[in-house]
Amino acid sequence: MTDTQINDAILKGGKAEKDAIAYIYQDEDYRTNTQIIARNHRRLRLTEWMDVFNESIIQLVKSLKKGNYKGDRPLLDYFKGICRNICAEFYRKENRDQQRLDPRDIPMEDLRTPYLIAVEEDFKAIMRKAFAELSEMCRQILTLRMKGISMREIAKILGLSNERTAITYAARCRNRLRDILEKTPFFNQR
Amino acid sequence: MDPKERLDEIEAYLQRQMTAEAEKVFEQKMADDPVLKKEVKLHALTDKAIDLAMEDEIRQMVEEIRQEEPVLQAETGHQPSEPIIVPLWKQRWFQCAVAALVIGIILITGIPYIEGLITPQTIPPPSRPQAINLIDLPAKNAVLGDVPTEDAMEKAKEAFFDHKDYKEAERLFKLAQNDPVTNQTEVTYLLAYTYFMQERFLEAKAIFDRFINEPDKISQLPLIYQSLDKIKWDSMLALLGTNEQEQLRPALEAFIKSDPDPHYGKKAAKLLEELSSE
Repeated sequence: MTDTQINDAILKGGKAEKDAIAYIYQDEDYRTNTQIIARNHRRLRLTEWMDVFNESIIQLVKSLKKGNYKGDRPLLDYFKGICRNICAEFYRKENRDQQRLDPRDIPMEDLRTPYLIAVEEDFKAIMRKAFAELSEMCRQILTLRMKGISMREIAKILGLSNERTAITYAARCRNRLRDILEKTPFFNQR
Repeated sequence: MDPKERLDEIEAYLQRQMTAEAEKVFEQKMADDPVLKKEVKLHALTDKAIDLAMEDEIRQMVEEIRQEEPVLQAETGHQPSEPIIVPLWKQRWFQCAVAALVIGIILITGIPYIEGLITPQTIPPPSRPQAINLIDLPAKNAVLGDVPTEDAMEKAKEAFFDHKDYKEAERLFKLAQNDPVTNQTEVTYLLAYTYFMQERFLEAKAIFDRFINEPDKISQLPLIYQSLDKIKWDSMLALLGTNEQEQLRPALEAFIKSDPDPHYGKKAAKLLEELSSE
C-alpha cells in the first residue's frame, strides 16, 4: 500500500481503515524502526517497544483522521516522529518521577497521586459515558466531524438529504452532548 | 454577537488558530464574561469527549488487529515478528563503525590513487634490454689487434668475451689496471662495455664521453680512434638505457647531422623515428 492509499483508507473508515491499520501493524519497516527508536532510548526496556508501537499507531491514525498529515514526507518518517515523541514522553515522565523522590519537591499541579490518577480516569469514564448516551447517529456524525470530514460528505455517508441537514444534525448532537456534560457533577468541580 | 460567529471564535481559540494578540483579547473577554467562559469550557469538554471516543475506537481496532495477528500472519505470509532482531546494519554503532572504516580505507588507498590521477603520466621507459640489444660489443682484438696481452688482461677478456661473465670481467679488468705493462686505454675501453652490460649505463657513458671529448688520448690506438662514431653511438645507447630521452633526442639529431659512419647513422635515424612514434 502506498502512503496515499493508507491515508485515504483511514479517512474512509470502516473495513478499509482496519485493513490499512493492519497493513501498518504487519509492516516490517514500521516495526523495525520502532524498535530502533526504542532501543536508542536506553531507559526503555526492549520488551516495552511493542507498547510504544501500539501507541504510535493509535496516534498516527488519530493524526491522519484529523488531516494533520500533509503528504509532504513519507508516512514512515511521519510515524517515526510520533514514535520518537512517545519515547521522549516516556523518558521525561520516568526522569521526572526519579528526580522528584521527595514529595515536597513536587509542584501541586503536577502531583499525580493515586487519587488524582483515579480522578483523571474518572474524567475519562464520564466523557465516555456521556458520549455513549448519545444516539448512534449522533455518535457517528460527531466522530466524522472530528475526523475532519466535510459536512457534504458526512451527509452522503449517513444518507442525509443534504449538507444543511447534516449541519443542523451535528449542531443538535453537539448541544445534546454539552447538556449531558453540563449535568455531570464533574463539570462543576473542574 | 451572532451565535455562529461566537462558536467560530471559540473553535479558533481552542484549536489555537488565533494570533497571539487575538488570543489575549479573547482571554480577557472570557475573564469578563462568565457565560463565555462556561461556553468555552463546555466546548472544550465536548471536543475532549469526541476525541476520546475516536481514540477509543482506534484503540479497539488496533487491539482487534493485535489479537488477530496470527490469522493475519497466515493470510499475508508474514512471519511472526516478535521479538524482532534489529539488523546489524540498522544499528547506530554499526553504521558509525562502517563509516569510520570506509573513511579510513579512502584515506589510505584514495590518496595515492588521486595523486596518480593528477600526476602527468610519463611515457613508459623503454626496457633496458633494448639498449643492450642495440649495442655492438667490440671484437676481442678491436683495440690492439692480434697483439698478445698479459695474463690478467687475457683472463679478463676471456670472462668478458667467452664466458660473458661481466661481473668477473669487471673484477679482472680492475686487476689489470694495476698491471704496469697492460695498455690502460684498452682496459678502460673494455671496462666501459663491462659496465654497460651490467646496466650501469651512467658509468659506461662517463667513459665513452671521456673518449669523445679527449680524442687525443685514443689517437695512439688507431682502431678505436677510427671507430669514434661507434663510441658516440654507444654513448647515446647509454642515454637510452638511462631513459634520458630529453637529452637523447637532440644528441641523436646532432649525430645524424654530423654525417657519421652510415652504419651508425642509419641506426641513429631508426631509433629517433621510434622515439618520435612513441
